[in-house]
Amino acid sequence: MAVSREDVRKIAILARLELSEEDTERMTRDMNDILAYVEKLNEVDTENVSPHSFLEGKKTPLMPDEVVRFGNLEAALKNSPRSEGRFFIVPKVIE
Amino acid sequence: MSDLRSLSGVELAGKIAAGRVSSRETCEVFLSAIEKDDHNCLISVRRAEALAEADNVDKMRAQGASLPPYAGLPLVIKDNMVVRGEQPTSCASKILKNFKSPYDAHVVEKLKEARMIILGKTNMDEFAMGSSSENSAFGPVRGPVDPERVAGGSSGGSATAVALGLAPMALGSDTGGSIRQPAAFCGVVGLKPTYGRVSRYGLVAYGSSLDQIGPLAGTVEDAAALLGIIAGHDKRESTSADVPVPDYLGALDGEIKGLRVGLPREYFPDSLDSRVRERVMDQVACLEDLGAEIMEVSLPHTEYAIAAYYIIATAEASANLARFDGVRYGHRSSVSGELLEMYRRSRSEGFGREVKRRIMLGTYVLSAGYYDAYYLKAQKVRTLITRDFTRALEKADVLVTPTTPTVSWKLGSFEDNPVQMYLQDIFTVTVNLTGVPAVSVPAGQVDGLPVGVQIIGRHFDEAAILKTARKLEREVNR
Repeated sequence: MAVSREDVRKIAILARLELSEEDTERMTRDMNDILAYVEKLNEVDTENVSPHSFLEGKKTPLMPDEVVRFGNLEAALKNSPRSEGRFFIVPKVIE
Repeated sequence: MSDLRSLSGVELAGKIAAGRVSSRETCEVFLSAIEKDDHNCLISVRRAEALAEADNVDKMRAQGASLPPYAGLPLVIKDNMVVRGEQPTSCASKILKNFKSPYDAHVVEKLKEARMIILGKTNMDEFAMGSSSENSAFGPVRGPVDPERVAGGSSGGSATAVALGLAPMALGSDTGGSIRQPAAFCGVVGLKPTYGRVSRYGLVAYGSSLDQIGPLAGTVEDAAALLGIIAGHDKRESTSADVPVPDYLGALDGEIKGLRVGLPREYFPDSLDSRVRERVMDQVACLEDLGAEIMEVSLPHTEYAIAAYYIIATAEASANLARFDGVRYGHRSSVSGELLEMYRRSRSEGFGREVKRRIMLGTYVLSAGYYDAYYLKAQKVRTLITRDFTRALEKADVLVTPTTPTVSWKLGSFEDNPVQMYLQDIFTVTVNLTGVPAVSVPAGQVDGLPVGVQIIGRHFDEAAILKTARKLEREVNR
């Protein structure tokens, strides 16, 4: 077993998800099935192999550091569940 | 006018351009077919907007304006590409059910420049995560040949719409096979371009190093035409390739004689259904008759592709879906609580089971202590898979394989067995991992269900796979 139910609860917090006990049970089983399968990769010798297969011969394209106005604040705010003026409203963050 | 639906996109565009049928009449025929259809291919239809755009094209034509060649031709696009306006872009998810995009995707801008008419957004697996189009918050897509079977996924709505003549062509997206596999299951043509060929700006991201938008159509010519419209550099998208777009239509009838066709032995295992093998080998025999040189090649790391893919794709998905937090757009839970609770509840209420599974897996493989063992390892194996392809595509010009190991399965078959479902992607994921282009073309049937043959090419050599596909379409009886 790669992950326990407790591990799954912790991962859910990291993933900003909330799983019921039943879903946690199911998720634990599913994740272990998948992780057991991907163990296969340990059969491959990857000594000295670069993880960047895409980058050979390429440079990251850069954009000029210029401000471009989106120009439609109303549209950008329209989809928010709660907004006021130019702001998105969220619940208080408790410290 | 139902014979309009039996024409190819190119033929129909020609009729519209010649003034023999109006764009409005054309769109109405397809909209009517969409309304009557019960395969659940479309999530939303933009009837009023489409007809207004069609009217505008007709008016411009009547005034003698010079119009692009496909002006007034309708199509449908997968609901993970944003279209500005009143129709939502939902990604088949509850979390984006009412999301109205303030901007158009790059491909949508290209379609609008071409004056093509988007009739609606097609159904899909939620956030493109799936191989069956069953994981939709709006119900599964029903397969076009047997409605009790899956349409394939995640572009099942697009593939089924084309197969049923609800639109002459469609756009889909492909991260692990999501254009090619539904094309194979539905008996249509589906092409995944080279990574970087088509801009991903406005495509809701699933696996950023894997995703590509591509055409689905009834003919290779239509797929080539649509590819030509959407391909090209986009400054806004940092992975968009600054490589000129060749004339795909012009290259379609290129010479096959002397073409070196590689058959990767790992894609024809003993376990492959012998009837699927036969359908594919019929295609190969046809190419040989036309003068192609057939050879066996090897892609030795194929057996590790699914494992590498599901680590990389889920890792990237967990990062890409972190933005859905109920703050700026999408579903926010109405259950009160402080910020962290809001995030957790909104996301849990909004995402379906498969999406949650992939987010969880992705979060785990990227987490401290596991990143090296999983994500980094998978990326190294990816390099080895890429080297396999580079070597094989030095010996051969194109590779030919089955698109899928089986034909379409019954709805609900993999309900509780995600790994079994993932294994069905074995012939398609390597193409995304390596970024090469590939097309699936119909290759007959097994048990009355469509089978696809996949043609894979070198980076940016869509012309070679299209000309090969075209020959198969023309020469083999289906």
